[in-house]
Amino acid sequence: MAKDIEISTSESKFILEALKQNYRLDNRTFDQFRDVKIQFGEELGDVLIEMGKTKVHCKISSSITEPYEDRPFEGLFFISTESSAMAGPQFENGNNTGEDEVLISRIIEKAVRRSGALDIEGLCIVAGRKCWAIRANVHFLDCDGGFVDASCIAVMCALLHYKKPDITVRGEKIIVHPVEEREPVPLGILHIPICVTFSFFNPMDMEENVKGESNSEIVIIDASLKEELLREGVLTVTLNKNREVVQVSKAGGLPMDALTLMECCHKAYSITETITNQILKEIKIDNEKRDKYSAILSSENARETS
Amino acid sequence: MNVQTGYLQNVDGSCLYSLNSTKVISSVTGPIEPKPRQELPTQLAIEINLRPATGVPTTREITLQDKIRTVITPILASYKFPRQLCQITLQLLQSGETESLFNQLELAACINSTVFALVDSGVPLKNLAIATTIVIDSNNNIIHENITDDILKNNKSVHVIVYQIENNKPSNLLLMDSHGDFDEQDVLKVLEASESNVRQLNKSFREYIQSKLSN
Amino acid sequence: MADVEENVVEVHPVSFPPEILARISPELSLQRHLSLGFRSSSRGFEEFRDVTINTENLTDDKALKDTIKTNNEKQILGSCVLKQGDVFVITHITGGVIEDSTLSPDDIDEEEDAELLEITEENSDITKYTSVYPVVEVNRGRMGACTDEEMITSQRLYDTLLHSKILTKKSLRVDPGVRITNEDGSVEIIYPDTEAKKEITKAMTPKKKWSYVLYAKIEVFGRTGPVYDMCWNSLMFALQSVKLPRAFIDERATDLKMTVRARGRNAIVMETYNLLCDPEESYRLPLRDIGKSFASTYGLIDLDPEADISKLDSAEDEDESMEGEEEEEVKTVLLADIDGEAEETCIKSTISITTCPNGRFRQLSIVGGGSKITRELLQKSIALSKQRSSDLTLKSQQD
Repeated sequence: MAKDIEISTSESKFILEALKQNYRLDNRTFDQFRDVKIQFGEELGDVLIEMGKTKVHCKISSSITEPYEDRPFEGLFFISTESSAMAGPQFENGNNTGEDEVLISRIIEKAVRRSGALDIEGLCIVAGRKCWAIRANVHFLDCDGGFVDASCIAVMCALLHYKKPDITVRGEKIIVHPVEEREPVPLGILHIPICVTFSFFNPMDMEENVKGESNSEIVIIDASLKEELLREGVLTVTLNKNREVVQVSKAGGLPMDALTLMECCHKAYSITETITNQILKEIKIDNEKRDKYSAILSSENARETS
Repeated sequence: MNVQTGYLQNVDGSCLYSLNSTKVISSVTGPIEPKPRQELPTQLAIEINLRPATGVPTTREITLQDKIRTVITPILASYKFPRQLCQITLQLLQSGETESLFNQLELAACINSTVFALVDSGVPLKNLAIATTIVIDSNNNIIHENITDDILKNNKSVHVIVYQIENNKPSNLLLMDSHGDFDEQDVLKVLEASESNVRQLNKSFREYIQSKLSN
Repeated sequence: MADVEENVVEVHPVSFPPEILARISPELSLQRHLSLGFRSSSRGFEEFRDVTINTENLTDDKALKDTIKTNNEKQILGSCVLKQGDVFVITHITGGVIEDSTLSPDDIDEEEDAELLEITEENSDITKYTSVYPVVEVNRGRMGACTDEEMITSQRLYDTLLHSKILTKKSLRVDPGVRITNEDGSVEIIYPDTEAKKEITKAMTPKKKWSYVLYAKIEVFGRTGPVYDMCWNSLMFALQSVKLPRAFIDERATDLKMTVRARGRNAIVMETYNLLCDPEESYRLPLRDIGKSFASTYGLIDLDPEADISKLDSAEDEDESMEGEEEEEVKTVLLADIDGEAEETCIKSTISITTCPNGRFRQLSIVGGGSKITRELLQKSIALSKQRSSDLTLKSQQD
């Protein structure tokens, strides 16, 4: 059992009191998502996401394997989310059975894999015989809340960034062309799901069952670690740019007003839109950087041959 | 070499280390309370966890952890903290070599990163340890810098050397891990070449610490 | 034997018999033995344990002849029983066949000028070589998950074997023959390298490629100390005894196709060939001689002058005056073939060398956690390892 982080009574009172007065510790408004910093690594499909102090790294790897027998036309796609003591003392090495960890990995799994964000039929090489297996390795580096949101962005960024090596099927054999030889192929991404997490606080001492106008519940977006420790309810909605709800997850906690759900989805949509645009923009910039390099190379070759 | 210590906030010490295409983050937490089975009655226990850039940890990572442990154990002032634990976690971000064939670049990077993270954490150390990788190619040339995956693949022999740093210079050999085809002369040549590499790394690391402290 | 607490005046001296002292203070017990010039096992400093090797007994020749096995069944291809001191190491090599389905562009070239490749077999490119997959099991009389030691030893064996370039990928290629039924009903197996009926083997050459994979199961019984050397040496002997069966395909199965229907669409799926192993024909696994090597480990330990038995009587009086004196030069001794709990836990500096009989090394690992490793000690251990390697080579030739 890993150490739980403890928060002192005075600090927790301070944070809650501040929330009552519409303040957050990091000076954000309640509906403000932290700025997302996207850094691409040297290799394709290597992305580091920073949201405030939260850092999540995602790396895509691929291999050729046999498809499942009952799904001969589909490739394989895994997301591995294992936490280590690096992210904070609440995580234990080699033990990912904690409630939080299971919840995080399940939400990401549902948001990305089960929503069909990656075109797995496009990973098929020879039906029933050979297919690509794509693996998203999510590494939690530093935890300051919002792991679900950050990892979802990280996985999607990495998938968009990754390109698998080109292949040629020659009869029974598959030739994998090295990246230097042939331009690698990007993965087929069907939509970009973005998770937004809402945290609920009940500033009154007693449980408030009557929902309505007089409700004094506080809803904040993208809680930091300390806020996460104090929250009483949590809701994660996953949307994409097409205004589709991909997933709604509310596992117990403070009961919420049904209408708040609609409101939350609206708020989440505008966040989804900005983040999606940011991701696409940064991917484009990075692609151009890499392309510029190959453009120079190709022009040199043209001169040599002429 | 690129070093950034204090990279993470939830641990006592951390270091983002990159050398050529190998990139690793290390974190150190300690001294903390150990689990009962880890506790040593007279000294500081060490727990090392290494996670690969892709896939799940295998015997390869266990072996690397063991090699890192043999280097870290002698440099820690471990009798100062009986019944305590020092937890070291390493996360590879980019291996820079074909993982199924080699671990030499990662090993050297992990050791250096761990030592720098230990310095960052303030866990008392007796000495520093600095690692380097050396390749002898098929023409018997010693390659001691900018080692790429291709150079590794065409090696005649490949060596990882770790020196203990005492009074600002390499003193004792802590680890030498060599594979391939080589003889006694090669060993001595490699030890010599690595010593100057280690001096260089030590110098740049000290400069980094100095600039960090003066800020 | 001697008093343990002779320096503490207040406490009454307690004495222990040697075997108890070895348990409660292995360090002191070891130092006292060393000061007398021999080790607790009564070996000399540079003396190895005796090794006996038996490589032929376990090979499953009989079973091989009785039944034709399909590629899924493992069978023992080579084995070795090695006894070093009180420790038994039993190695079986088993194998399987896998399909090489992906090819890099290099492999295509290889097909076209395979002969050229043979000339350049000295190619140092590591990707042309392969290893076996060892599983080390140290039996301790209880079940459970594998220990770190087992995993580390297995991985070290794998790495060292790969980097010693003893096994080429090409040597594990399966070159299957074809089993045909002649007009008169008799069944015959033709291999591509036989001159007769060349046209048949040529026409039937399968489009797929297969390779053998070798697994080594190494069991250690009665562990008394570090096991790596014994495992490596045993693996080396076992590999030299490996005989790979020849494989063939039934002519009826050389080009079998099956249609698989899924979700209403049709797709043609190749059925796997029925690759069988020949019960009679087998050949020795080709090993590159250059890679054959043997491992030995040396420990370095500083002699503790205070544990010196010969000085014991005078120690009490000199206790105070000693501090004023100049420090004695530390004497480091080299112990060959570390064994026993005391040596294993107290010796922090070790040198492990895997040496070919010609004096070149395949693997060297130095751990310098304790005594300082000087050049002289390194050279001494190198000389010993060469000697040991040629001794073991001789032994393997005798068998």
